[in-house]
Amino acid sequence: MFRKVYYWIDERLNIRPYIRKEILDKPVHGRLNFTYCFGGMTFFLFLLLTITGVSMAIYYVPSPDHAYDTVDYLTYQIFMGKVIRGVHHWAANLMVVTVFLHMLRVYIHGAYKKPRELNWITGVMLFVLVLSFSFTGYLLPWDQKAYWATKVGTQMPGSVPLIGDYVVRVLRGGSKIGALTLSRFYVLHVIFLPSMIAALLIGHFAMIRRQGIAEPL
Amino acid sequence: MENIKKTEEKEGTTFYPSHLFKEMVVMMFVFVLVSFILALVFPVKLGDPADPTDSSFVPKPEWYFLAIFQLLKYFPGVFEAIAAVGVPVGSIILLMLLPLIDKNPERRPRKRPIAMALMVIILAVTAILTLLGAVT
Repeated sequence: MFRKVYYWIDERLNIRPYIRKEILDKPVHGRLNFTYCFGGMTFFLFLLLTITGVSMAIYYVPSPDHAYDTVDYLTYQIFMGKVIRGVHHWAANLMVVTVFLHMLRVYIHGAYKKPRELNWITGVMLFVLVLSFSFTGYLLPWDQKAYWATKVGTQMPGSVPLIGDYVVRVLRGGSKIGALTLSRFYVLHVIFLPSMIAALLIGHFAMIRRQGIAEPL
Repeated sequence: MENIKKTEEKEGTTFYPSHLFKEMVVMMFVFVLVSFILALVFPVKLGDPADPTDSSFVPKPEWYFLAIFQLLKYFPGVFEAIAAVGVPVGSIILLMLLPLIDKNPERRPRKRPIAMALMVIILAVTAILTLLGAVT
C-alpha cells in the first residue's frame, strides 16, 4: 500500500533518486553509539509534545475563568486524557534532559568547532526555545502552582534598573498576572514558539545533512 | 584485522537501515518510558485553582530552574539583578559564542584540559545549587 503510493508519486515527481541519495543511502560513520541518539530523542519528544499538545488545545480555553475547568475536564473526563496530559508533562521534562545530554556530548567531542559553528549556535537557540516552552506552558493549567511560580518568574527582570519594570509589564500584559498574561503565554506556547522551533529545526537538520555528523573520536 | 577495521570505519554505513534502526530502538524506548511508565505510574496532578489573594502559597520552580532560584537567595536587594538576569543571560550569550571563543581545533577531550575543567566546575556548581534549591 505504502509502496504503491510511493511509486505513484515517484512516477510523477521522480523523487526516488533524491530520497535514496540524500536520506536512505547517506553515508554515516560505522562507529556511532547510542550517545549519538540524544538529538534524535529530543526530536521524537518534540513530535510527542506536538501531538499531545494539539490534542489538549482542542479542549483548552485560555481565560482565567475557564482555563482550570477545561484542564480538569480534559484530564479526567476525556478518553485517555490523563495519559495525554501525562505524556505531555513527562515528555517536556525528559526533553530538558535529552537536550542537556545532547549538548554535553557535542561539547565533550568538540563537535561545535569549525566548520560546525552555525549548528551549535542554532542549537543554543533551540535550547532557549525549549526553556521558553516550559516556562510559558507552566502557567496554562491556572492552578496555584502555575500562578505563583509565574508570578515569581515574571518578577525576575524587574530587578534590573531602568528597564526592568517595563519588561515585567510586557511579559504580564500589565502589572498583575491575569487574563492578558494567560492569553499571551498561550499564544507564545502554541503559535509563536512552535513556528520558531520548526524554522530552526529545519536549519539545524539541513546543516547536519550538509556537513555530516562530526567524525567519532 | 586492524586493516579491516580501519576500512570499515572509513567507509562507514548508510543512514538506512543501520543508523535509522538505532534511532528507532531509542525512540521506542523513550516512547515506552514516557507513556507507559511515567504517565501511568506518576500521573500528572492538577492543584487547587489559582487564588491571587492567597499569598501563603510558597512556589517552587521546576527542577531545571532550581539552580537560578537558589542563586537568587545569595544576591539580595540591589544585587538581585545579577542572579535574576545577569547570570542566565550572560551564560546563554557565552554558550552561543562558544565556537567563536574556543578556536582550538583539537577535539579530543584529553587534549583540552581547560575546556574539560570548565565543564566539570560549571556542572558541579549547577548540581550543588540545584540540590540546595531542592532541599530548602
